[in-house]
Amino acid sequence: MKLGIKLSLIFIILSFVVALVMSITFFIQSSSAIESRIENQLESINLLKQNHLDTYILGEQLDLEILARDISEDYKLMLDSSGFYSMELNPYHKNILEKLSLHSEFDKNFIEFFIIDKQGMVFMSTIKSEVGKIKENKDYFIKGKNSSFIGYFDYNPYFQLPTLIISVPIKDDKENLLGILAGRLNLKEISNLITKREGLGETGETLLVNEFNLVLTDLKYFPDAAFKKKIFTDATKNCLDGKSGFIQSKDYRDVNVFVYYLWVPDRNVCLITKIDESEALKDLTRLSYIMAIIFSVIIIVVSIISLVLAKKITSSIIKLKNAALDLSQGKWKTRLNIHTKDEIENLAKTFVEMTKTLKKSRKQLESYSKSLESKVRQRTKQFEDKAKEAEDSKKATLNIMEDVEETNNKLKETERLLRINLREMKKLDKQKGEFISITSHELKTPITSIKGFVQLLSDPKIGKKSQKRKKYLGIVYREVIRLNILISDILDLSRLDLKTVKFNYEKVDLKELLDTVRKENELKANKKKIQLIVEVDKTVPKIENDRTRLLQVFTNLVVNAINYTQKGYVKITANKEKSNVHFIVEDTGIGISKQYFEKIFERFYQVDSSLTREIGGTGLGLAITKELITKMQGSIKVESIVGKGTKFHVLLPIKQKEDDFKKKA
Amino acid sequence: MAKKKIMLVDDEQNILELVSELLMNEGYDVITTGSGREALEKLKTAKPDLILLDMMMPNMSGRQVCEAIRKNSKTKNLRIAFLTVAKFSEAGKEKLNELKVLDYITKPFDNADLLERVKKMLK
Repeated sequence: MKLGIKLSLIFIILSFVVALVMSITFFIQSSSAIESRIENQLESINLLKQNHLDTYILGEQLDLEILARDISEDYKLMLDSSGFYSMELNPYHKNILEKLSLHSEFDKNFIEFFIIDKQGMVFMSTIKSEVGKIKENKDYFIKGKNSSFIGYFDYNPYFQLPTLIISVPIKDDKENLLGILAGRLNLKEISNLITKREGLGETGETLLVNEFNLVLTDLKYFPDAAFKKKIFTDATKNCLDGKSGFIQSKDYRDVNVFVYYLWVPDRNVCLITKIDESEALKDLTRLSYIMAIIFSVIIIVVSIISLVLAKKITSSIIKLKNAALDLSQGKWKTRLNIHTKDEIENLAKTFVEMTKTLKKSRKQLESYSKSLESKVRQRTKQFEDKAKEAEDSKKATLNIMEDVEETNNKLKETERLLRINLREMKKLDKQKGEFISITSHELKTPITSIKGFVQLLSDPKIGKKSQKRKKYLGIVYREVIRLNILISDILDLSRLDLKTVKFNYEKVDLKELLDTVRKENELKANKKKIQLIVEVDKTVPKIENDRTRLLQVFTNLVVNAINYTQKGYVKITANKEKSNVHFIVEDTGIGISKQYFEKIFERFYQVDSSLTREIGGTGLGLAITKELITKMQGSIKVESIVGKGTKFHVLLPIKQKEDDFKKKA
Repeated sequence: MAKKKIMLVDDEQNILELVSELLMNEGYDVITTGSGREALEKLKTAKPDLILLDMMMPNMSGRQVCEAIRKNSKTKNLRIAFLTVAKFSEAGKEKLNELKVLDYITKPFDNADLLERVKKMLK
């Protein structure tokens, strides 16, 4: 995926998440706020209705009490003036009836007034047919005897209306009970009062339900439901359990509503106020529409901004990428049009710097390679010149055996030797301290023996014992000789190191030389019953070398071979090999294991020191030999099988390339 | 009193012969060994009162032999003196103290001086 798209996607997703979280939080908060507002509203309306109801009923009760006081005198007089043939003829009776009718006329809420005597019989009534009926079991009679009584909501079959009976005692001025005045209230009025809509919107309504789930008021959606319809909802259930509260549930129509219910124990009814959920949450729905719009707008705006921003960021990166691509194709761009004033601009700057450095180093490289080329050309020319010279001299001199190539090889070989020499010189220099300490040890060892034994010999106790004396003198003698050899070897080596050794080159006949070596060591070999053989090939020419030094080299090698051989032979062979003579000094002695092939040429290195001491070596012989051969521009190496024998290979040039050597040096 | 036993370790046969002659003349028992390895081998059974150890030997130097002796719990408390050609630097002397070396006898030595020192070390 492209960086730009990635960046914009990230922006969009981020803003989407933030906007979503904000919207959800806001929505939850506002919906709970709205709900609590609805609860408050419903609760307050409910309380208001209860208040209305109480006030209304209390007002009517007060009315009735005033009426009772108004008629009490007439009523007492009426009771006292017995003897009338008919009650209807009693003027007090008439008075009372008039007053009741008048009041009934005045207060339309009462549809009936009636007076019950102390025995519980309807004594008088605005409805004549009621007179004489016995009411002694009625609450309004029993309770009304003592104080004002408000009955329950009821349905009256006579009027075919929901009614409520209020009763008050009729007392004389001495507070003696005379009878009970009862009034029947038309509940339609109360129903109107309750159902009257007050700040409840379109679907809001208040209703009363009695303990038998019977609706006492007309319903908004069921006119004339009062005392005809029963309601069973969550609200009525809770309310009839004597609780009050706010819930969200279904109403009698099975529609979702918010309900506030209140149990009114005085009236034994449930007062319910409700409103349809759809209406109550109308604001919230509108709010969510607005929020959706805002949300979409935010997303769109953020998307546009992020696209633009991402393009801006990626455009500089693309520029950088293109520059890098150009660079890889060899196009040098030392300017980049990036001014973002941030890390990308820094990167671009660094990139430009890098390009410049690269360009510079490329130029340097080119110039190097050019100069190198010219050097190579020059060198080639030199070589060609040299080759030409060699060619010329070859033509001119018949003696020169080697062709130009061989001369070049020689040159290289000499150069290589020079380098090896240099390395060895450095190594020697480094080992100088070590060498001195070893040398001093090697010198002091025979001196210690000599000193000690000479002291011992001068001891008269020992000096007299001739056997010991002889032995000690022998040791002293051998140690003196060893010391002498050691000193001359060390001198030899140090001369070689200091290059003060002069080589007197002459033509040496190898056959003659090696025979001399044989003759000088034959006695020693014969003593050990070892054959000493010399074989020089006929093609071997005389070689240019220092005779004395050559003698030293081969004597060293042959003496070594004899010393380390118990039986068999020691053989020296010489063969021509190109411009060299290849010598092999072969023995059938104890041999040397491979790990020591290099070490044996080191100074004072002895594979087995006890054996060496027995043989009388100094540990310098091979070092001197190698040093001499190296100086002669030759080489020496060893091959050996332990227990079978050893072969020293010596390669020496037929002609010393002294002049070239000096030139190179 | 039992004879004091002295072990000589030196790769030089002549030195071994010389020193053992000197010590035996003074009435010491002498064990001679030609290399460090041989000395360590013999120390498995022998228990000398003093070891005279040559510093400069091939394969295993006197110092290495000394370190090996000090590492072994059986031999770590043995008396040791060095025979040496070299003179020690201050650092070298410190090392000798670390290895609990009693003395070092410089070659070439004076016979009487050697015996004197040995006697002193065995006190």
